[in-house]
Order: sequence, then structure tokens, then C-alpha cells
Amino acid sequence: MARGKGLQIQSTFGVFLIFLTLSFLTYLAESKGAFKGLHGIVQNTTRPAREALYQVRQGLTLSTEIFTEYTRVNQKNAELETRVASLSSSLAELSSLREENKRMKLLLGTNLPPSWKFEAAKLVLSTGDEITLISLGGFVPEIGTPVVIAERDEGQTGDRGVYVGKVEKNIGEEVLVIKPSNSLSKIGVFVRNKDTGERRASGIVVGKGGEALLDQVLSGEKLAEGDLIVTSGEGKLPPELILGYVGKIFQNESSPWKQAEVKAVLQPDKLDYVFFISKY
Amino acid sequence: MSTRLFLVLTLAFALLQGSLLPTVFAEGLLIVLLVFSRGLKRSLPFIFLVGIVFDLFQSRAIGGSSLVFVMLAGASWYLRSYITPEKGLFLTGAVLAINLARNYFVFNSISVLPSIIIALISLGIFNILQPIVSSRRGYEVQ
Repeated sequence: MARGKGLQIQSTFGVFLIFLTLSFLTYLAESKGAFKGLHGIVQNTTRPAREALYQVRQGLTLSTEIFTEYTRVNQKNAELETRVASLSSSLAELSSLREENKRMKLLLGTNLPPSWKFEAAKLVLSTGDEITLISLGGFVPEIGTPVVIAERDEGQTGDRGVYVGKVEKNIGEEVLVIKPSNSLSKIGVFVRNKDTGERRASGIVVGKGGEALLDQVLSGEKLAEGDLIVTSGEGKLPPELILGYVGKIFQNESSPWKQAEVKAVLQPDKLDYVFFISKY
Repeated sequence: MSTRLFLVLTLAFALLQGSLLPTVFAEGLLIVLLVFSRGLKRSLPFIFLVGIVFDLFQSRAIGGSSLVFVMLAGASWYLRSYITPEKGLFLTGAVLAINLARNYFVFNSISVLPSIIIALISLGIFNILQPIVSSRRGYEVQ
């Protein structure tokens, strides 16, 4: 039995050697070009099938690539959208901060008393003798709250607060403010020399619908065109807010009073932001 | 594995490999299945033929693959008595060796990923077939 097995092993090894030699000889013959024709026949026969299979592979590869790219683009898109939302939010915040900074700079640049308290408001509409504001920061002004502009126009205001008007009523988010030219407006004032600041006269600025008039100035008191008209502090208004300057002076010889046109310092409708004086 | 099935699978994979499947993929598995189911002596003619078929279909020098297949099939057959690891692993190693050798000597490259894939498939197949192979008369892997 052992001999039989030995013979079997030997014959297996023999067959192995035969086919090994055959493989080697085939390879040698191929290197001499013995099977050129055979290659051509097999290639031509199998080409259609191989091409079809290759196209299937290309299709699968392309689909995979498209899907991968689609997933990647979607992911990138989502990331970008998140980033845009975040940047938009930051931009809005930045814009808001810039505006607040601008407003605060205006206040800081004036000679308004630092103990006063101010609340910002945005101008919505200016019509005739009224302006409409929207209070920023949720502040709800009381009726009669004065409204000022903080301006650094030194030539005209000498770095002072300029009186815009006073609150007449609140309408939801909007605040209606009457200008000095409004017929309901009556403001106690002083007249000061524009250059020296010396007090020259006192009177009342009354609204005449479309214009304001300085009235009840004693005829003995001096008035000159260009003099500054400032609030006197009477009637719940803080003092030294500029209303305008003296324009044309009217005097009737028989009257104990003289009057003058009030020329506005600034045009409120060209403004963006004003301030309520919430405490003075 | 019957020789008819072996030849059909050979022709199918020779056509698929290169166009749809990786260039070197299933030949190692086919050869190992044939050798260890029918024995080396009865498998050698078909192993030689497999090499010729793959070389023709893949436009390689005829005889190169046959040389690699015959040598490694013989080596794994004779080594089966000396190496006694877990049988599935040994056969998988033989499949891997045939594929890598063909990759290197015929195509002058090494494809790692397809080799790993076919090794895993082989391991799965051998572990499933091992009880069946062991019960066949005369050609048990020792």
C-alpha cells in the first residue's frame, strides 16, 4: 500500500513536471510569435462582449462618482448655507452696532450734559409741522418728552443739542412729535449772542403752522439777526437747547413787544436718528 | 467541483475580468477549488488550460499564467502536508499567493484591494465548503 502511494506521488509529480515544462515551452513559443494569429482571433471574437461589459463598468463608475459628488455638493451646500446664515446674522449685528456707535458718537461729541439720559429714535416721516419717529430699544416716551438732534455743526450750533420737537402722542410703535412750527407749540426761550453767548432777550417761540415766530420780546431788549434762540427751561423742557436763530425782526412802534422770524438750524427731514431726552 | 463547471466559470471570469471586474480576481480561487477537490494530477491539464484562456482573453503572453498557476498549484498541493494551520486560512493563503504572483509576473503590478476582497470571499467559501470537502473520498486536505 505504501508502495502504491509512493507510485501515485511519483506519477503526480511527473505530471506536474510535464505541465510545468509544457507551460514553459508555450511561453517560449509565444515569445517567438507563434500564437499571433490566435490572439487576433480571440480578441476579435470577444471584443463586442468586452466592450459592452466595459461600458457597464463605466456607467457604474460614473453613477457612483455622480452620487458621491452629489452627496459632497449637498453637504458643502448645507455648510455654506449655515455659514451664510451665521454671517448674515453677524453682519446685521455689526450694522446695528455701527449705527449705535454712530449715534453715541454724535451724543458724545456735543456739550449736552452727561447726566442727561437719551434714548435713540429713527426718523420715519417728516410732514409739515410733525415728524414721526420709531423708538429704538423699546423706550416708550411720555407725552411732552423733548426730542433733540445731537449735532456737531459748530458753525451753527456750537456743539449743542438742537431742539426738534416734543412728543405729542404714541401710536403703537410710532411716536408723533410736533415741531416748534406746529400751532400747538409754545416754548419759553432766551436769545443769546451767537458769538459771546451773552443773554440778550427772552420771549416765547410760537408755532404758526409752517413757521415759528419769536414773540413777546420786550421792545427794550436787543435783538439782532443771527442771534441764537435757546430754550429757557420753562414748560418741562430742558434749558439751552437750540431752537434756531433770529431772522427778520418785526417791531411795531406802538407795541411793547417785538417779534422775529425763527430760522431753523437744521432740516429734520434730512436726519436719520434723533434722541428723546428721557431724563434731565 | 466538476470540470464542466470549472470551465464555464473560467470562461465567464476570463471575459469579465479586465472589462467589468479587476484584471486579476477569481483565478486563484478557481484553481484552489479544483486542485483540492479533484487532486493535483487530475487538475493539472485544466490548470494549464485556465492559464491559456486567461492569457488569450487578456492579451497576455500565452504560457505565462499557465506557468504561474501550475507552479503554485503544485507548491500548495505539496505543502498541504507540512503546513497545519486552520484549513480555511491555508487555502485562502494559496488563493492569495496565486493572485499576487499572477499580478506581479504577468501584469507587473500588485492590486491590493481586489486581493483582499477575493481573500475574504475565499475564506468564507472554504469555511462553508470545508465539511463538504472533507467528506469527499480520497482528496481530504491533511
